[in-house]
Amino acid sequence: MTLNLSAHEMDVVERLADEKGLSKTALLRQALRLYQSISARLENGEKVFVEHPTTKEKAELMVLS
Amino acid sequence: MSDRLGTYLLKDRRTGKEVEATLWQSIDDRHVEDFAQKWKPIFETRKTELLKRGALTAEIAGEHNLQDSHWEWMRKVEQRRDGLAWASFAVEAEDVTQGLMFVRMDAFAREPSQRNKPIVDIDLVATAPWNRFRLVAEPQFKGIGRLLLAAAISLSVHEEFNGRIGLHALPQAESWYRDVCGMTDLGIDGTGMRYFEMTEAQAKAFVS
Amino acid sequence: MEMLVSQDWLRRKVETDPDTDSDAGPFIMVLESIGMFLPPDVTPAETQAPRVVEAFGVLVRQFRRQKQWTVEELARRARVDAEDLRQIERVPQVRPRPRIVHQLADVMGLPERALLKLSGAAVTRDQHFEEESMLFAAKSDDMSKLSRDEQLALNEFVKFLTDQAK
Repeated sequence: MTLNLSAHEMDVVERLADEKGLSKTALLRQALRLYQSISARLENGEKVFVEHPTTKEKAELMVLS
Repeated sequence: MSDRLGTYLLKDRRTGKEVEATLWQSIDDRHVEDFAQKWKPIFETRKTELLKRGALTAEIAGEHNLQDSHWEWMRKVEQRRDGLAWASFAVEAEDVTQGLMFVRMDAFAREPSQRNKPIVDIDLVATAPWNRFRLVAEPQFKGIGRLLLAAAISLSVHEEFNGRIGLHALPQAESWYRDVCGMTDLGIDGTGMRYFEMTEAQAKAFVS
Repeated sequence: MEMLVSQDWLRRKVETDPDTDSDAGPFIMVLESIGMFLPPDVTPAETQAPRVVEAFGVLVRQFRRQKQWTVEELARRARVDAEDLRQIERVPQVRPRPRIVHQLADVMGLPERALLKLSGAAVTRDQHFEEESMLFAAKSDDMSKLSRDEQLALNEFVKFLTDQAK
């Protein structure tokens, strides 16, 4: 299969791969894992939050599954 | 389906002899069956004993969420099979499951030098009750914990995580992970357990 | 996936590794927390001679005073909660969790099994053990610095506990 990504998307892939010390393939596999595990939690009725480190304010992470 | 990752030698403390063991990637039905048929009864006997002597009360069980989490991970085997984030391992010797490990690959490092980089997070490492140092007078096999840790590091390298791993140690295993395995102790976290992480350099030293 | 270690590597390491448990993960912690992994010869029980348990608090307090450590200092070194330590030292009825006893045994350099018995985490029907413990507890006084007599009693009791494990 061939992935068709825009130039902007490719930039993001490259920057994240660089930041995380991964090849582009490993990064995309990692992204898929995360996407799947968050979706599974939401499907289970769980909520996924992002918490601000100092204010402890929580924002619900919305993933369209 | 399980993949055979290799054959290793465990030391049988009871006879002093080396016994051949197989390391498998992915926990299979027969490993879950061993857990249910061979491990669990020993734990259950112990639990009954604790209940009988009043050492384990409904209050304590409730406090530790024992009813809910009671062998819950066995059911999780099924769920985790479909999860891309999960990997599992089993060690077999003398045709019986001697050790089990679950890891997840969607976790991130906390140690400052590798913060936010992906790691292999060990969700569970357990040896069979008859190999447990504090459960039986003469535990049988030695080397299972070390072999499973090496498997987690190998997976981390395979996934391009450079050997980075993390885990929450049981109190009596803290010194093993800190002093023998050379992991960084990051203190007790929200789980109430001490969290340890292995850096790339520490992983290299461990497998050398 | 390829394993990065050989058969020979494991054999070599197993020879020099210490004998210890290596379990990890929240699930196994649940089992630990209820006393599942206590050694079989020290069976947990709800009732323990109160004086024996009292001796545990006295021992911890006197050890700390001997070292001239604050409660916080001992808590830090043993990696336990300072409030738990205060309870152990002050309330004779407190039966500390096996984890805390394990951590304290580590920092005090004393055999864990003897401390488990003393702490009430495990029952003992050893009359000699009870007598020694009660004698020790009775000798304690709560002055800030250990008196010579207290020092002697502490040393003797520590030796008794250590001999227990032999």
